Amino acid sequence: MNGSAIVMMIFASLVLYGGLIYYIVQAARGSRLRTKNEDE
Amino acid sequence: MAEARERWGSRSSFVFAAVGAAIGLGNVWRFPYITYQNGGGAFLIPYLIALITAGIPLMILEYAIGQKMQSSPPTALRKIWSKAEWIGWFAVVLVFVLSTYYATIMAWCVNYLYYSFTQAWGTTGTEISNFFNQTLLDKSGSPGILGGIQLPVLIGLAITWLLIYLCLFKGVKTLGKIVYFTVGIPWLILIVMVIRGLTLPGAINGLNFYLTPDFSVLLSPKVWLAAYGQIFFTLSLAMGTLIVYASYLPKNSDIAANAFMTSLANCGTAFFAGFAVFSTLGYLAQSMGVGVPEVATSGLGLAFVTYPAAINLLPVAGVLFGALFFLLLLTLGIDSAFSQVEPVVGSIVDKWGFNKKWVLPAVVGFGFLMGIPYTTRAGFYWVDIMDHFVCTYGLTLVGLLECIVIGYVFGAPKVRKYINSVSDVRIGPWWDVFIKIVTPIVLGVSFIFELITLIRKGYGNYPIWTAFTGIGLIVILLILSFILSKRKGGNP
Repeated sequence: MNGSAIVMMIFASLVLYGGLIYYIVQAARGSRLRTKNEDE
Repeated sequence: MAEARERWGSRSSFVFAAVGAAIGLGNVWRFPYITYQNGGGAFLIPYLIALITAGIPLMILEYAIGQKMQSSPPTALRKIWSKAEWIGWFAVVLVFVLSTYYATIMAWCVNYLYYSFTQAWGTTGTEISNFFNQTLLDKSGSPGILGGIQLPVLIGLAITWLLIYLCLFKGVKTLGKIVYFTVGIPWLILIVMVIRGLTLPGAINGLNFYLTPDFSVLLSPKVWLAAYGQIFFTLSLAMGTLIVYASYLPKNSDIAANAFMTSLANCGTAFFAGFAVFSTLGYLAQSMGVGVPEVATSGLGLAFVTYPAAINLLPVAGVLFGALFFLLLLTLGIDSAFSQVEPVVGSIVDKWGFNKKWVLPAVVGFGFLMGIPYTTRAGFYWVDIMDHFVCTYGLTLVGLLECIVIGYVFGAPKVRKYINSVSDVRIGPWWDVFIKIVTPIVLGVSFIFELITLIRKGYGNYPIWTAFTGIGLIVILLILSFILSKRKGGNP
């Protein structure tokens, strides 16, 4: 693969997969994991 | 006493269901080609900007509507503004029409999965093309000549609607378990296909075509419109699906992180699928002694002509990879297909209080019947025509109206306050700007641009009366939406 294609691949991977992992971690650590309604 | 609303079994069930709804056939057969066609790797810049400025804000908006109002689109929008119920119905009737032709595409996939075991599509390029166009579809040559029903397609359609029914009939809790498979299996298959693709000779050449950036395209408004269009349609926005799925979450569930996870997982899958597609196209081009642009294609051509040709040329396990590819399309499509039926069922149940046990088979049966015209010899043309009018004009209009109702009538800051009260990730005032200004402008410009193109050139190479039929359909669906919104409901 040529250099500029590799740069774009790394850039998109960082944004998409880095972002996804970041939000999965946020969700796992967060307090909003409840699945039951508060009023149930 | 009203029955308690159905609930997802867990947060991950909801996220997987929303991801499954978003990841569809377009992630494999549309995104990679659009990227290649619009500047390769450079396209990823407008694509990611569109994701952040329109895709994610609109997804947050739809999650918020469904979750706060605990209702499907028409009822939820009525609760927001009594005059907005028809917008919800418009989304619902549009997605119902969409589901009828989407199920037909799935029916073609069902047939090809069967044919893949014998590679019945032939060996040469002409044979493969003829197999799809003549043997399976027996195209009539014009949308005006319906011809007879193609029995294999009809059987495939019946199997597809049966699968949709089986996925939905046990309710949301069971659906939450099914989506682990309908999302997990395609991911596994994609990994296998990427590994296989990358180990083929010529693969790197294909990837160069996929990702080598041409930054000059960033000055072209068409590329930006393509990026926003791709983001809008890939995330299943404006179809009512995300609203109804979110309505099965408790009111205090997280919204922001769910929206970020769903949209990033969807776009990450599309980006990854590009490696499977373009590595294989690189191999096909090398095997045929031609350039990658000569084999690069998208949509139905890629799935039913180009890919089978590549599968034929695989040195080992061609049958296995053929079956895997069509299983991939089938599993990618099935969760999108049932996600298109759920808003219809949920909206009827919410408005009139009918029992879901009876509404679902009625909707499935009606959907199957409405899909039969697509199984005729003119079905291929009508799938294409309906898709253009439903998505380009109908869904764009729904997205635009949602932004206006929430942004200007209900008040974006009020919704944001609710989102932040339940979310771990805080949403700033930027969200208001995207919902009130950026997204409506982009959708409005796209709508007008497409309308002007339609008036000047018509759609595709079809006779002009097909354009009137398409626009007529949208108008009829709009009138139907108004009528449905005026009907007295059975639920308070």
